[in-house]
Amino acid sequence: MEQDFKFKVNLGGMIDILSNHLYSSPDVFVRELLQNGTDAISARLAADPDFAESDAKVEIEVDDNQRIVFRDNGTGLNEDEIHRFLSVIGQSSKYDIENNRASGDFIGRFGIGLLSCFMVTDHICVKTCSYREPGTTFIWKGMADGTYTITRTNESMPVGTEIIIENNKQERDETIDEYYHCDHIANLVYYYGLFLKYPVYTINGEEKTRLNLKFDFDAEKDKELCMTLGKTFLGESFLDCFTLRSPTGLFSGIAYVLPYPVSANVHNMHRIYLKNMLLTESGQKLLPEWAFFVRCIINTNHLKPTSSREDFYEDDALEKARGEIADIIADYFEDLDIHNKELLYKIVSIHNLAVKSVIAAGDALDDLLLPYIIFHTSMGDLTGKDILEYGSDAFYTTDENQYRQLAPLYIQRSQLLINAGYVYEDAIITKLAETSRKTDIQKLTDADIDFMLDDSEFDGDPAADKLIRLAARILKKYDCKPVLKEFRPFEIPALYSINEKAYKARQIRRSKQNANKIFMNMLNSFESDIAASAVACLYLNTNNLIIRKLINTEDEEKLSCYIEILYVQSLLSGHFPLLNNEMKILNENLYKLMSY
Amino acid sequence: MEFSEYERIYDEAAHGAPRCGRIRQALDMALEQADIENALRLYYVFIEEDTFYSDNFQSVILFPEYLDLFEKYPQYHEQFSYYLMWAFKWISSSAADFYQISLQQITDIYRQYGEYCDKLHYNKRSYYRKIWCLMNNHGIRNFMLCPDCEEAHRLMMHCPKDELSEVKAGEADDLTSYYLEVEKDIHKALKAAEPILSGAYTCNVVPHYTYVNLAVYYFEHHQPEQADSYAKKGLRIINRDFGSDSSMVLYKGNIIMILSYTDLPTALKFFRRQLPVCYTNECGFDMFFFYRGAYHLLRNLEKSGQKTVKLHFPWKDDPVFRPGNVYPVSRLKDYFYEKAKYLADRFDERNHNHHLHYLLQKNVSDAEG
Repeated sequence: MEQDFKFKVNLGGMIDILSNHLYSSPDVFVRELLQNGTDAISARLAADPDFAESDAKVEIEVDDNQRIVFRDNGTGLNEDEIHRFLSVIGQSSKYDIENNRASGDFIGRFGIGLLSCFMVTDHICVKTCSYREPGTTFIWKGMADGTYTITRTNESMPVGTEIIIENNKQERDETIDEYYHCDHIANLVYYYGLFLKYPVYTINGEEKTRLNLKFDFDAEKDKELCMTLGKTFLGESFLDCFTLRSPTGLFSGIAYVLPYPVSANVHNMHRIYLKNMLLTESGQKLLPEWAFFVRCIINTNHLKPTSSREDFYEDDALEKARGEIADIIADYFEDLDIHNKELLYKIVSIHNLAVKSVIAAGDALDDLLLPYIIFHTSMGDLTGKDILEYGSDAFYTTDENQYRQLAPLYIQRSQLLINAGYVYEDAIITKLAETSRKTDIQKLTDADIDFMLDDSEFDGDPAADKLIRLAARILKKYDCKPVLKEFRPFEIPALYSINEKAYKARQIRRSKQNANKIFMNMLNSFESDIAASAVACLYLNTNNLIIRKLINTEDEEKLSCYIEILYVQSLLSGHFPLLNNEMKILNENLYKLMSY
Repeated sequence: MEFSEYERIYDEAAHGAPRCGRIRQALDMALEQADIENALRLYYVFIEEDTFYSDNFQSVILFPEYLDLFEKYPQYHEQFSYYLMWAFKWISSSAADFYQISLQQITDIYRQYGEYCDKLHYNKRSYYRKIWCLMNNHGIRNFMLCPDCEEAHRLMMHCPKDELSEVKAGEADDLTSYYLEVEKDIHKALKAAEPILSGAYTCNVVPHYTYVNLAVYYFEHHQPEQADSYAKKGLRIINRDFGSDSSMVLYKGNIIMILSYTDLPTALKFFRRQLPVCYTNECGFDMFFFYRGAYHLLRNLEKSGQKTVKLHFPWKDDPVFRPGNVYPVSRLKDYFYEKAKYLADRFDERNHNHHLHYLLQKNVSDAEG
């Protein structure tokens, strides 16, 4: 038989969990109270036509009796609301129960913020007067053991709410005492609520100090102020800053350009405010991934925080915000391109990698930024603009070893070979090739290498033919064929070139040296499939004195040694991984030659 | 040498083949110095890189070396079993996508994978998943290790998740595929995909795969607007995924095919960009879909009246290659059809079925309603 039961909740234990484990530090009680006060004011502005925004304020009074009073002139609560919202954990006055959704104007929505006060006190006293019942004051007193009382008084107070906490925690902790000092509270307000919408004051005796600013900056008009703000809140100096303002009202803020290069893997920490209240100093999700060259201070009113309040949910709104930020960064670059090319060059040269990732990420900035990108080429470092204006055939390789092997040849021929072996460069060079009108930019293939090398004057020479026949016989076991060519620099005697398939065949041979039976069968299948098209070439340079000498060498035994040495040496200079026996071959042949 | 010193060798290299080459250099250095611990790490790093950013070919052929080294040094088993098994899982799944490997060889590799699951104390969920994926993707019935695809899926779902299970995004994507491809129930599929579509679950290949799989479903069910929308979502995210140049080729092929019916200029632009970077992909199964996409695109260009197309044709030794980069649409269409057909022949011969030939013909008639 099935029976229904209800969970029993240990309220004191719940409070302990929420207040001591959900929050990382007692500091957050200030944030929670600021949040409640601000939300109450927003609610009153929406509901009470007699209440003007210019009257709105939050006051925090810290007196000598180790007592803090948080005061706001928001809606206040009536008795029913006190029962519903102050005394039910998980229920917030900001939550529209009937429609099962939280109102967009409010910061908090979990209904547990007030409990954070139990981290610094054992008693919370709330005095409140609703704008719907002016003249009636209620006093709610909550204890850390989960009990509470409500008293109706005729004591008059202005519409709004006062939260009074005293330094009376039974479990003494010296750090708690710090919270009962005005300066400490002011620092926390400054930290969490610097940009809160309504004025926040601290009152210390006769002294009343406003603590917050309006979050409405224009980096173009107030560059100096914004740079100072960046240095103060992000802790470092920046190269430049620009305004982030969403066209759809999703966010506003300032982006700062870092003055040093950062790795693509770095996740910059951004200072993010949610409805003008600090959400996190380590937000990462709001900016596009490629924007790792900026940090920002940003406020958003419409994104949904995760329950840990460390970042935002991945949803359509976040995707949209990210897209808008991407557009703003694009506009910033466009503006620099028109008005401050020097700064744009500087940014691109510092953040070459990041800017490459921007281009790789989308189409919007291609035309604008491609000309500024710097590539390593056989003709030195060239910008995208230089390459586009080169005006002849240009080749690129994504294999840095191949680039290092071939660049000397291209330098000698004054031809352009681009090293696209670094992150993003493959994608970027493809885009450059798409936009290029004057220069034909193509990926280098083994056919291009063969084509680039000149036919040898020794072609048809009987001695040279003899050398090639012998070399072909020796190199056959390495799936490599010798070819006589002429090329510069003269100092390179032989050049090893391998097409993709032959390279893979080499790897298969290597793996077979250690494979078990099951994998050996698999590797054999691969090998037989690609064998026919796997071609490696050893180009022997007849401009080189060693090769010329070899052509005139009669002793076949010595020739065999030289050919194998040249083969291994060309592999090494091309940074190709050697198979187990290849290093042995080099040593054996050197030893043989020494014995002659 | 500290591992970070090896990392520096490949840290800034572009993802895919360039980075694999540099990792290989680091690995050779570790092996030369008999630095077994770091060599075992680097084998895994290589296979992970190749799996997510390239065509898996190199990792499939490198894995026997890795396994051999692992077996030679039992003192590292506790530390590296988890990594070895993930690498084994990836490469054995990929092995099926190379027509060069016979069904008997696949069976042997899977069986050995299952034995390693037992030996290293993992359950068989990932083993059954492998079988299910093989049978589902390749249209294979009566595979030696399992009588049918649904049964493999049932056995997989019956096993509890363990450390070799897919991440949440992968599991949700798998389930979405199951509903789309086996049960053909779009409502269940969308429900399974919900955490992916809402952005709650993501991983290296999700939501990319999910978007494209949904696009294919809608395309095949004559709902071009939804197909276009999901294909473009997939396209956007693949375009942003900088490291994916020679990977995700199957999905790129499907995007090109779908967009060639819904947005021909975008399909052509995407194809132009992808062809020079995808053509080196050795994975025959993935390339079948890429060639099929190219065939559909050129077929639709021809139907639209376009006679020539400008693009960088990467096979410079092929008689079709033209130095001026301008190609007759009709000739290229036939060329890519032949390439797709060649692969369909190889796979269908290996799999003893007509699955890829069916797919090659099917979507033409689907698109024409």
